Formats: sequence, structure tokens, C-alpha cells
Amino acid sequence: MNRPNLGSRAAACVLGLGALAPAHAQLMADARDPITQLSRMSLEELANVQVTSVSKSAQSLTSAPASIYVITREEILRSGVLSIPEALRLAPNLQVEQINSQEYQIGARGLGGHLEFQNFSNKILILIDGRSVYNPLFSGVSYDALDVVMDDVDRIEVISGPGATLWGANAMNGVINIITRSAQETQGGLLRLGAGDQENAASARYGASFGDDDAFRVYAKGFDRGPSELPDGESGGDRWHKAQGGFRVDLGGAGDDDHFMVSGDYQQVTENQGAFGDVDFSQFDLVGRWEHTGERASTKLQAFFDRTDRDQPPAGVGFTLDTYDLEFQQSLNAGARHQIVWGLGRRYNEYDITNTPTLRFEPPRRKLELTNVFVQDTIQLGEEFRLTAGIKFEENSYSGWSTLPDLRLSWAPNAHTLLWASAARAIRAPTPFDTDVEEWANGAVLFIEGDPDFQPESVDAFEIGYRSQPEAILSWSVSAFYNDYQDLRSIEPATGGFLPLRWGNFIEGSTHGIDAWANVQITSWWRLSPGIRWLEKDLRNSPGGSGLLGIEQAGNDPKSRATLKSSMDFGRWTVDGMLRYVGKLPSPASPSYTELGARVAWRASDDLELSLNGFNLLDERHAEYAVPTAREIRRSIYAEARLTF
Amino acid sequence: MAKPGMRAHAWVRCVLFLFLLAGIDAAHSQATVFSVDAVKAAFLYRFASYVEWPSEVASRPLIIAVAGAEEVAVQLEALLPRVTVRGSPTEVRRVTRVSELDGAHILYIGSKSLSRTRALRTAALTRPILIVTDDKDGLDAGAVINFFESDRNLRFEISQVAADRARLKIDAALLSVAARVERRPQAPVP
Repeated sequence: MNRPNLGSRAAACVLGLGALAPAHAQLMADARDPITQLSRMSLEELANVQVTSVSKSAQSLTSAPASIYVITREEILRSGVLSIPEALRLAPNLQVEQINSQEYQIGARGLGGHLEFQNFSNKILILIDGRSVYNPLFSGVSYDALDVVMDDVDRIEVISGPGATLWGANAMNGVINIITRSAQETQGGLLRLGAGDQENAASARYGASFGDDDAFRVYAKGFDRGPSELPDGESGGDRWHKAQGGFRVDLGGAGDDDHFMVSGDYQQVTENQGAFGDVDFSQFDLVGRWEHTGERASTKLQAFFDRTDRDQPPAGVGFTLDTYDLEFQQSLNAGARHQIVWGLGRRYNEYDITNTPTLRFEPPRRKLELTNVFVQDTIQLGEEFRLTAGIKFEENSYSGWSTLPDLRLSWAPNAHTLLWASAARAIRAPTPFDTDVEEWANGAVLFIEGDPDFQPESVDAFEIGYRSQPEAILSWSVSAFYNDYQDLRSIEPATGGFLPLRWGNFIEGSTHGIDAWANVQITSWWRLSPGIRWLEKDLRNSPGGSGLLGIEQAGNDPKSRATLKSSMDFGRWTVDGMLRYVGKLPSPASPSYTELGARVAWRASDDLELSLNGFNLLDERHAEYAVPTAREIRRSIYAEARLTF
Repeated sequence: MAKPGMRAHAWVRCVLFLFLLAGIDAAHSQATVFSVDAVKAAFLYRFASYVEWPSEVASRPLIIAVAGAEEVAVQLEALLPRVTVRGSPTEVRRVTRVSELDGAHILYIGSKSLSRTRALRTAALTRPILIVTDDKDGLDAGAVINFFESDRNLRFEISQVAADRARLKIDAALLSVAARVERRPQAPVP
């Protein structure tokens, strides 16, 4: 089943197109500097130039010394994706595996999880408008609860590499910031209605302004998502549906010194779990933020509350989890050369787990606290060099204080080029699942238990990257990393016996690899974006470890991933596609696969767009992950109307 | 599991298709693509040469005020130091308050910012300021010039009524490039 030649062919395709594209670029961009060129044009010439409004927000990120890919709103809308996990496939620096209709495993730079050994994708931190959606009970993200109105997303910033100094624990291999538009930017009505052979969905949003600069929006969305399939085409028994609504209010205009934001969301979800029947969960959040922009300092104060209430799934426990979070951050211009950011944060988690005979947490109810303080100074060294040094001290209820330093140096010889290097430390903090868990075989034999002394998993990460936009129509980025891991979670036999097994910290070693991507505007109507991701792992059992279950448990990651996105405009028609190749997974083995998503849209008028979307088109069904709960993903199509008023 | 053979075939077809497209493209004539914000900035600067302001403000250095359009302001900052309008330097000014409009010749209000800048617009309407907007309701809101995108070009429309009210004279050459001109109501023949 494994076809290594497919991998090399995919790489050849991407490289081939990559080599082709710059040649084109050279031919067409005759002037180096677009502004000079435009300033010399007559009115008639200006009226006839081709314009693009691609990735406005990405521009400001060209100075960030990290491996950042920005998924723009345009990219999300034009890919036709219906969920955040599917949108994350657009980032060339992530690995995304769909487990079944409801679940995903998502990682950056490897160690994305190993479901069979109960290792979840726990080394990536996801935030929606500054609200962490990382679940501190089992460490990881519930991707079925991650939802927004796609039209209201401004951008998704995907950082591969550590971000612990700014974002804290669990921003270990990556950080994903989902940023929605302000209420001022989402005024008027929006209605999206779609139907397909896998999913029926609707979303509606209305926004309006009040006062001089203030605005609000309210939204509702819902979907009924069909099941995945078994290899023989039978239903995977995981159909689910969701209803979600929410609001956002923004006070203060672009020029005001003070801005206030309040937003809230509520979702109610029912998931079919095969023979187990239906399982429900609900989630509610409320976020408030005040931002003040002063002469020399900008201040931000943010608070959020989140409540998740889950029924018991077949192989897990039900729980109620409340999160209270308060953060303060200040950015200061200290002299001409220093920009200092500092902040404090405190988070409470309060949970109540409903134990089952086979899976118990002792104690089942607990309060967790997370406290942090950080400071970061960005120092301008001459015209071209910039040094960023930061440190965060964070305390969690299990392992006490951690020190999370970060050092980055960047060199920008001109406005279009950035070379950067970094060294940083990050951790994945212990959770109740690492320390308090008890798994009972047949409800009678204690099979696995948590380790009260479980240590944070930690990484020392070293990166170097280069990013360039040599022409208005061409940009590219490449970054290489070397990660040195300590204390990765392992499973160990009981002292002087075998059962119960116990979590330990006895895997260590390194990974290295490359993330690279490019954006090429080949003609005024066609853009191509190739991307590749390469990962090598060199892990081992630490001295003192048993080696039970081997090093595979640290993560079941594909070595390679390659994507090619194409985006074409023909007047009122747009044609978009994304081809993705994902290398084989080693253990449990899944073959490599190649899939295609495509979308054709027609703008019938300024207010109405009709589209036909196809997902996973190349195979009737394909598997992305081989565990007993995994299913195969079927080819699907979806037709949609998008109306604004 | 799908048959590996089938999958490989689909893959090969896909690659061939992409190369075919690349081939077609090579034969295609090329055009450079510019950021829409840079083109807006170039237009704003260029408009100044085709507009005559009343004498009380005409002699001062040209000031382009920008509200709710940071990207356009950034582009203007890059552009204006390299050019002059009728021999005078020009400058960009980010504005949020009515008092900051003093001395401004052009006020550009970014797309999505129309409803948030009511106070600025109301104040500008009473002054000899060329209001430029980026919104389908721009001319109705009192703008003299309004941008819109059409088939990957940036075009603009002009209201002569609004120009008259602001006591601005618009050169015929500018009117001829406009995609649409909202003209003065014709006086009935006596």
C-alpha cells in the first residue's frame, strides 16, 4: 500500500511548478518598485492596471521573525471550506488528519499525537480572538467545538514553532490565532445556504452601527454533517449536527484612543456515536476586552469565561469545565530603539468529571490555576537588525513554575527581505489526564494510572528562516528547525511489577525539518501557491525508561506533506483548487494519499454568489489515520448560495 | 482503502492538467498586478492635478487626509515624498477628529469606514474638500469621487453636484476617465 514514489512525484510537481513560476515572474514584472511605477502613470493607465487586494494583513507580518503563515479571509472563502479544521489544511506549515466526521488530529512540526496510545494533539495552542480553546483536562483541542461564521474570520495566523513567551504553556510546536473581524467590518446582512451529499448548512449574520463609531453583529449558524464511512462504504455512525449563535459589540472607531469589545457564543451539538447512541455537548463563552492607545504606551485588558458541558462519549467521561481568564498587557515605546511588551495573566479552571467504571479521575472535581508574567523587549540595532528577547514565568497547579525564554534576531536588508533566527523553550503542561487518571480493565483491574509527579514535556527549539517578496507578484518563505525534546510522555510499568501501568517522562530526542511555501501571481487572473513540509524524527527512550510501547507513542506523524493551491479569476467566475499530498503515517501505518478540493463560483450580482464545491475528489473514500475509531472520508460535493444585503 | 492504481492515475492527470495550464499561460500576454491600496494612493495623488480649489486654500501645500484606511495611508507615505503637485510638496495626514481637517484638500474615507466617519464627513461637506470614498453609497453620502472595483480594475465615479457644493472645479480630462459622472440637473429651457 505504501508508494514512496508518489511522494517524490509530488515533490517534483511542486518543485517543477516552483521553478517555472519565477521565470514567468521575471518576464512580467519589468519595474522593481510598484510605487514608483504607479506614480508615473497617467489617469488612464491607472484606470487600466490590474489590482489585487490579497493578504493585506499578511503584509504587516513580513517583519515577524517566525514561521508564520496567514490564512486570509479571501483564501478561506474561496476554498469553500465549511469548518475551521478544514480551513487549517490551507496552512502549508500544519499537518491535519481527519479521524472521522467529528474528530481531527492537528499538529505542527511533528508530535501531533498518537490516538491509540492516548496521546492527543496537545502541543499546539489555538485561540479565537484571544480566547484559548485548549482543553486543560486531557490536553488538546476539541475540534468539534471549534466554530465561527467563516465570513466573519479576518485571518488565521498559523505559527509553526514555539510561542510560549507570548502565549504560554502548550504553545510548544505551534500557535493558531483565529481572528474575527470587528463589528464595524461586518455590517449589513449575510445569508449562506448550502446543501450537499455530506452536509447541509446555513449561516446568517446581521450587523449595524450605532452612535458615531460603534457597531454590533449577531449571528446564527447550523449544520447537519453526514457520517464518515467504513472501508466497505457502510456508514461510520458519526453523523452530527450543531446549532450555534452569538454576538459581538465593538465600541470606538479607528481613530479613538479607547476600544471596547464584548462577544459571546453559544453552541449546542448532538453527535451520533454509532451503537452508543447520541452524545450531546454545549459550549458557551463570553469575552470582554478594553484597549487603550496612548502616546507612548498601549494597554490591553481582557477577560473571558468559557463553559463546556459534555455528555459521556463511548470511550471517555462526561464533564463540566469552567474557565475564567484575566489578562493584562502593555506595550511601551521606551526610547527610540526599545519596544517593550509586558503582561500578567491568571486563569482558573474548575471541572467536574463524571467517572465511569472504566475511566476515573481522582479527584473528579478540582480547581486548576495558571499564573503568568512576561516581558519582551524588541531592540532596533542600527537600521537593519532587530533583536527580540523575552521571558515568561508561568505557574501551573501541577508542576509549579516554568521559565519560558525566547530570543530572536532578524535582519531586514530591505523592505522585501527578512532573514531571522531564533532559540526558545516551551512546555506542554501536565493535565488531570497525566496525573489523576485511572483506567480500569473490566472495571476491576487498575490498568493505567496517572503520575502525580508528571513533569511538563519540554522543547528547546532552534529555527532559522528566510522570507522574501522580490516582486509584487511573488513572495516566498522557508524555515528550518531543530527541536530538542525532553521529558516526553511515556508509559511505564509499575515499580517492581507490571500493572498498573503509569505515565512517565521517559522519551527524549530531536526532530528537524523544513516548512516552505510561495505565492506566485502568474498572470492577472491566476495565482499559484505551492507549499511543502518535511519532518525527520530522532527520538529515543531516556535512561531509566522501560521502552514499553516504544517511541511511536510520541506521535504518529507523516514525514512529508505538499500542497498546491490554485486560484483563478475570470470576470464574474472564480475557479479554485487545492491539491494535497500527505506522506504515509508510520505507526499505526496509513498509506500516503493525495486529495483534491475544488470550487467554482459565479458572482451573479454584487450581492449574490453561487458556488459548487467538491471535497476529497480523487477517491471515492480515503483514510487519513488508522486507529480503531478512525473512519474513511468520502468524496463529497456541496452547492451554496451566498447573499449579502 | 481505494485502489492505489486509481489514485496514481488521478494524480498524474492532475499534474498534467496543471502543466497544460502553465503552458497555455506562457503563451498568454502578461500584465503586472498592483496592490489595490497602492493604486488608490496613486489615484489620490493624481486627482490633485485635475482639481482646482478655491483661492483661499489653493496656495497652501496639498494635504491628503485619510480616515479609516491605514493601508492607503502607508502607501501614500511611500509615494508622496517622491512627487510634487504643481511644484509643491504634498503630505498625508491620518485624521479622526473634525479639528484635524483644517487645511486638508482631499479627504479619503476607506472602504467599510463610511458609517463610522459621519462626523468627519458632515464637517468636510461644508468645506472646500474633495471627499473621496470607497463605498457603493459614497456619492449619496456626499462624496465627489467614489472608487469601485470592476473586473480587476479600480474605477471611479464623480458627482459634479458634490463638486459644485464644495466649490471645486473638476478638469474635463478627469471627467472623461471616470466610469460614471453624476451631472448637474439641467436647467429647464425658459
